[in-house]
Amino acid sequence: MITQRVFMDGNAAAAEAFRLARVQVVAAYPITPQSPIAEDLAKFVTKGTLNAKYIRVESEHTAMSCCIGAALAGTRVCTATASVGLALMHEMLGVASGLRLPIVMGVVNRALVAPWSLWCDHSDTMAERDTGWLQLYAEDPQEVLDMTLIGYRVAEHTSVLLPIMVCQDGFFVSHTGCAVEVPEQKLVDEFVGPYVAANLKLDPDEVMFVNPLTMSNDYTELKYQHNVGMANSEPVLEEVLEEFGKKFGRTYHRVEFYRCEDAEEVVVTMGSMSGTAVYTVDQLRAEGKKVGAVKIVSFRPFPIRLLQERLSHVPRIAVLERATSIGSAGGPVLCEVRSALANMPIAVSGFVAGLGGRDITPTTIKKVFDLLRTAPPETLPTWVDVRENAMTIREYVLDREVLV
Amino acid sequence: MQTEELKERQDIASWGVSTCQGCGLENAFRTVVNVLGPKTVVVIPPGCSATFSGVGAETCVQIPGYQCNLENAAASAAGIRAGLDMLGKTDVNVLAWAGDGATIDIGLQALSGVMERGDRIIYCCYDNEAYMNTGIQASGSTPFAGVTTTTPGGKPTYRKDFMQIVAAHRIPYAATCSIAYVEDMKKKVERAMTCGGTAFLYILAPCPTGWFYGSEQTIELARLAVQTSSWPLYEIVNGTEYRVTQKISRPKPVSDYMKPQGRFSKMTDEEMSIFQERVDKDYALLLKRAEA
Amino acid sequence: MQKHVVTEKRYLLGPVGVTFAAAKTGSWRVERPVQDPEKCSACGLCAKYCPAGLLAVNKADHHVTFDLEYCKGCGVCMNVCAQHSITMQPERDFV
Repeated sequence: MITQRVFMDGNAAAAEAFRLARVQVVAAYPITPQSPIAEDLAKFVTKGTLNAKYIRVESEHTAMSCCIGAALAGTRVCTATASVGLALMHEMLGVASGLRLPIVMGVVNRALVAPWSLWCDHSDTMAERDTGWLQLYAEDPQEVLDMTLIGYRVAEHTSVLLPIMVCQDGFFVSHTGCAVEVPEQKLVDEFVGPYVAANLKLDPDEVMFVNPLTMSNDYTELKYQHNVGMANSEPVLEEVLEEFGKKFGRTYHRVEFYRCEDAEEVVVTMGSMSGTAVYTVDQLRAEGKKVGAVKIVSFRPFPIRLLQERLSHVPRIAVLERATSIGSAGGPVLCEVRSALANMPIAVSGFVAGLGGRDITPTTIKKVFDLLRTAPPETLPTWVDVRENAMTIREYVLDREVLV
Repeated sequence: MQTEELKERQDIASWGVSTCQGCGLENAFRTVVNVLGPKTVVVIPPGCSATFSGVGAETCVQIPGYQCNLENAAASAAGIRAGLDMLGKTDVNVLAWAGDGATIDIGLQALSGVMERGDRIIYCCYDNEAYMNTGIQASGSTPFAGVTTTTPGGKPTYRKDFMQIVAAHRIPYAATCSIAYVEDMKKKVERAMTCGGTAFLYILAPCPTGWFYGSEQTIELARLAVQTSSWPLYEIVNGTEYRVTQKISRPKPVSDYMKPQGRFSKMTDEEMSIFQERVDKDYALLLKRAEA
Repeated sequence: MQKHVVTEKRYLLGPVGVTFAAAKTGSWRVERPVQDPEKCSACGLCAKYCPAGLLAVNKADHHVTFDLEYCKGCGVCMNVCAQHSITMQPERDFV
C-alpha cells in the first residue's frame, strides 16, 4: 500500500475525500469556515481530477434540494455547509432522510446566530439532531477524510439508506493543518465502490412517484421504516469501521474510551476538544488522579449500549459540550448521556463551554474535573467558562439634554 | 368503461385526477407531458397540480415524478438534470411544473439561480393567479383589483411582470401560452425541449373556483385573455428577441375578459379604464420589442 | 430467443407512489354532456379542449364518446362547440 502523507487542513481533507469517493454531483454554497471545500471541489472539477457536475447553487436550501434531485436520479452526491447555512437547509434535511437518500454532507461546526459569530460551536448540528440524519464528529483532518469515506459506505448500505453529516470543528479543525495519510484511489474504489440507486429513484425504466402526500394511515409506518434504518446503522457502522481499519490501518470506534477502565471521573467530549481532554487526562493521571476521557464519534445513532457497557463502573461523569439547549433540563449531549445511563448509580453532570469559538483549554477541562469531584451534582449544566460580569458587558452611555 | 379510441391514446396522465371541474391547468399539463413523452421526469411542488402526484401508494402519472417543496421546483429539477446527465441519460426531459405562487413568489430565488446557471430544464409555470390550492390567497401574480381571501377589497397593486424577470436572465427560450391555443402551445413545448438550455413556459390557467365563473367557460376565458391582449402570446429568445406568435390586430376591450369573472366584480369603471390603458401600453411595448 | 415479461417484486422504503391509478371523478357530476351527431361537424375542438382529455370524436359517423367514469360534467365541451352539438343535461335524468 502506497501511502501519501500530505499536509492539509480539515477543509482540504473533506474535499479530497469527496474527490476520492468519486462523487458525481456537487452542489455547494460558500459559507465561512467551509468555503475552501466548495472552492477545492470547483478546482477539481475544472482541472478534471473529479468527474462531476458542479452546480454553483445560489443558496444552501438549493444545495440540499439539488443533492436530493441528483441522488434520486441515481448519482453519488456531496455538499458541505456550516452554521446558518445548515439552518437554511433545515426544511430539506427531513426530506433527504425521509426519502432514504445516502447523501454525505460535510458540516464545519460554527455557532448559530444571534449573536453573529464565525467561530466554532456545535449549535448548528445540534439544532438538526432530530432530522433523522446520522452524525459523525471528527477530531482532526485525518478523521475528516476517513469518516467521509466511511460515511458513503454506511449511508449507501441497503439496510441503512440514510444521509450522514460528517462534522468538524470550525477553524480548530477546518483551518488547522496536519499530516494526513491520503489513501490510494485504487483502495478507495475497492472500499467505497460505485453507487447504484436501489430504492427510490427517478428513472423512466422504473417508474414511480417519489414523495407524494401520505395520509395518517401510512405516515407512521414510513417513519418507522426510517427508525429501523437508523437502528440498522449501528451494526453497519461497526462493521464498516472494522473493515476500514483492516484496509487502511486506522481503526476507529463509535465511541473512544481513554483510560476509563479504573476511572473515578470521566469527561465526555465531542470534536476537537477530545484531543485536549486526552492531554489533560494524562496530566491529571501523572498527579495521581483517576480520570478518563470519552470521545463520542457517532452522535447519531447515539451509542446507548456502548456507554452503558463501558461506563457502568464510573461513579461521576461530566458531559462537556459546545452547545446549549436553552430552556431544557440539559444540553443536547448531556440529555442523551443521562438517558443512556439513567438506570445506573452514576452522577452525570453537565458543563457548557467553548460557545462561539471560545477555546477549550486544559484549564477548562481541569475545572470541569474539579467541579465534577467537589460540587454537588446539578440538573442544569454549569456554564464553566462564563465570565463573572456576563450581565454587564455592554455599557451604553447616552448624553441626553434635560431642561431643568 | 374505456372505449377503444380512448384506450389507444395512452395518455401519460390518468383521467381521474382531482382537479376542479373545468380546471385550466389540467388541460395544460396533459398537453405538455404528452408532447414531452414518456422519457420525462416531472417535478411538482405542492399546489393544485399535486393532484397529479397522487396520494399514498397511488399516482396519476405514468412517468417518474417527484413532489418537491414549495420553493424549490427549479432547484430540484436542476439536481435531477445533473444526475441524469452524469449517467448519460441526456435524452430524458426534466420538467418542473409549478404554479404562480411556487414560481413568482417563494420560488423566485431557485428559478433565478437555475436561469443564471443555464441548467437544462423545462420550467412550466401554470398561472391561475393566486394560491388556489390553499384556498384562493393572493400571489405576486394576482392581477390588479383581483379579489382573493387575502385581498378581499381587490388587490391594490399590479402583478409582477414575470416574463421581464425571465428575460433579464437571457435564457435561450421563454414563451407565454394559453390553453385555448393548443397548437401554439405544443410548438412552444417542442422549442423548449430543443433549446439547449433553460426553457420557461408561462401558461395561463383559468380557474373557475378562484376566478368565480361557470366551469364551462375556461377555454372561452383563456381565449379572451389573448384576444383582449391581456395575455399576449409571444416568445423571447435569448432575453432580447421578441416574437409575437398570435397577432391580435384589434384587441377586444379588457372588460370582455374581466366582466365574466366574479373576482373582478368590485372593480369600478374608473379602475377598469386605468387597467385598459395599462394593458394597451404593455401591448404596444411588446409590439415595439417584436419589431426591433 | 423470445421476449418474456418477468415480474420482480421488492419492497421500497419511504413515501412513493407505486400504482398508476385514477379517482372516480365521474361521481362528481351533476350534469352530463349529451351529443347530437347530426349537428356535429367532427371538428374535434371538444376533444382538444376537454380538461381530462376523455372525449373521442369519430370522424366517420360524427359520434362523440365521453368516458363517463371520469367525466366531471364541467361543460367545456358544450361551451367550445360552435355547432351546439353538445348539451349538458342533469345527471339525475340518467340515474
